[in-house]
Amino acid sequence: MTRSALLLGMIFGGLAWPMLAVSETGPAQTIPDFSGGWDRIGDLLETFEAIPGHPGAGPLLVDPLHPHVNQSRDLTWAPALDNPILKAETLAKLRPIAEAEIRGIPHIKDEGHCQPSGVPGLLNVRGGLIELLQTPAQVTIIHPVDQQVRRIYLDVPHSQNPGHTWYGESVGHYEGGDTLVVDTIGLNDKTQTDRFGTPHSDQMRVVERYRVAGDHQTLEVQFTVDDPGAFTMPWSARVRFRARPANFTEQICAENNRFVGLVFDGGKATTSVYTPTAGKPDF
Amino acid sequence: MGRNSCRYKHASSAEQGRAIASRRRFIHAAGGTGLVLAAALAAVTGADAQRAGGGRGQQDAPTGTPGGPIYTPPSPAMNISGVWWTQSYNPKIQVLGGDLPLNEKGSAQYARNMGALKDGTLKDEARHLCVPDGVPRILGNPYPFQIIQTPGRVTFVYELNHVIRPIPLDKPQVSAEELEVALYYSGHSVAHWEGYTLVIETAGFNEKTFLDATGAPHSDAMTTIERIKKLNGTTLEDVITITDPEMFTKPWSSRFVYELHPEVRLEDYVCGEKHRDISKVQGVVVPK
Repeated sequence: MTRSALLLGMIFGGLAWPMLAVSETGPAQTIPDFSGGWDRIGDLLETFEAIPGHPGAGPLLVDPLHPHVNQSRDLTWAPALDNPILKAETLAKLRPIAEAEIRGIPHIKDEGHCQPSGVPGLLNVRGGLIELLQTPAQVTIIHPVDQQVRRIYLDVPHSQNPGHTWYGESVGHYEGGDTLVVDTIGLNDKTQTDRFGTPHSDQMRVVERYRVAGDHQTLEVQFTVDDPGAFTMPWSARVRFRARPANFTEQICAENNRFVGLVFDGGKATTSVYTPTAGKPDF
Repeated sequence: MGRNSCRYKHASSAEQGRAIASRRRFIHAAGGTGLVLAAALAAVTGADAQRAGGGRGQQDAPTGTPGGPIYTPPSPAMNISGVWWTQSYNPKIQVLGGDLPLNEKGSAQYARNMGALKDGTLKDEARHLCVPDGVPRILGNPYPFQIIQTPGRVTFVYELNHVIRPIPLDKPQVSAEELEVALYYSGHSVAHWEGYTLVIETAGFNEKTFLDATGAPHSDAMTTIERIKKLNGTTLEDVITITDPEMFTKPWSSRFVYELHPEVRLEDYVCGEKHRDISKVQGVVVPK
């Protein structure tokens, strides 16, 4: 299957979605209910899981020789680097980050820079509940950690020139009464793909499928990343959440963003990590 | 080790203790127990409702099932969803019917702020570090914002500094203790409808913001009441009343007006990057 055919399979999987699009004349569509807060579950709360039974390529996973154990002193985020999805140039950028982690020098997540976590990185942000605000033409995903927000426009095509932005351009539609399908292009190359700091290019396309359980207690997001600039093939992964009452706190990164000790950032070990500032105000 | 990169305001119990100690008064929690008038309003189909809902809002035709995830406003006048954008900006907050009723402490603080902003000993962090502008300053900002109505909540998402104000409807204010210790740039808000007017009551502000770009001061005792209503299908008004006895001799009000912009999509906003062109907003002076 070609790369584009794979993606089309993700986007149009199941019923043909134009038939499900909201229209005044068409049949009423059952819209899945994603309301409330969603809290990550799983063994490792900041990284992606392989999809059980998925025959294709999967995400980078923790190197078994250097485990990451929550609530322990083993907090290394080192990936197994033999995953065939990595292009040589991507591996070349990732290897020093992994080696620093193994030496005990952690790398900085995007939100540690007070920068957007991007897509699919927003699914990995720790420290608050993710929320999906559903309105007829849009789904807005918000996260309290640094007030992150991304927008998904429903039942519309991508624009001709989406440019390259932190969260890209997302369009979506509902499927099968329990799923929101989101197709994102137009991402910049400034965010990390995963918790290991894997870089990606601005060619990246991400198709996410948000599926809520019938009892509304769990949410699973399966997604496929296709980025011929960084990966040899499309790969798929998942994250899981459990339902919690919405509790959106105000967490402002830039007000007091500081680091103690040595970190690996920008390709080198450093004790200085920047926070975005405006030398010249916008107005 | 730098594992936890951002140290947020709730991290330190010592700071919270100081916050409590520094407060001399109990902030009276603004009640959010307004009656739901939806049923009564749904029956109103007169000229007012027509005028208020006559515009082409992007969410004028909500769909969904009762009890489902999509909020269906009972009246077009209560559909305030969409992207809104002010047509004019003023660095100095405009007080309805006069000037800021500063008391002695407020006058002294305002003078100090203006002097320090001018000589650079005080940084306007909202502009240089892109922390939230706070209320009411965010209400006058020259970037578009979006109002999102979902069941039981109204959420304001501002493009500027990606500020989010999630506001529960018909719920009590957070506890007095939380208002004392969890001080927010945007405060803690609750809302209810009074007729076609959305009333937002907010308390629990931190003292890190100014009321405007000139450095008008407030204390953490400030409370605000916003009254938001559609003037017609494409115009929204927010009249805010500010009470802060530490800085002002009496409550005072300011008014902000926005136009609906269904053609605008909010953009990402990261400090120091090139952002949307706001030069067409009257009163904006883009620094060279």
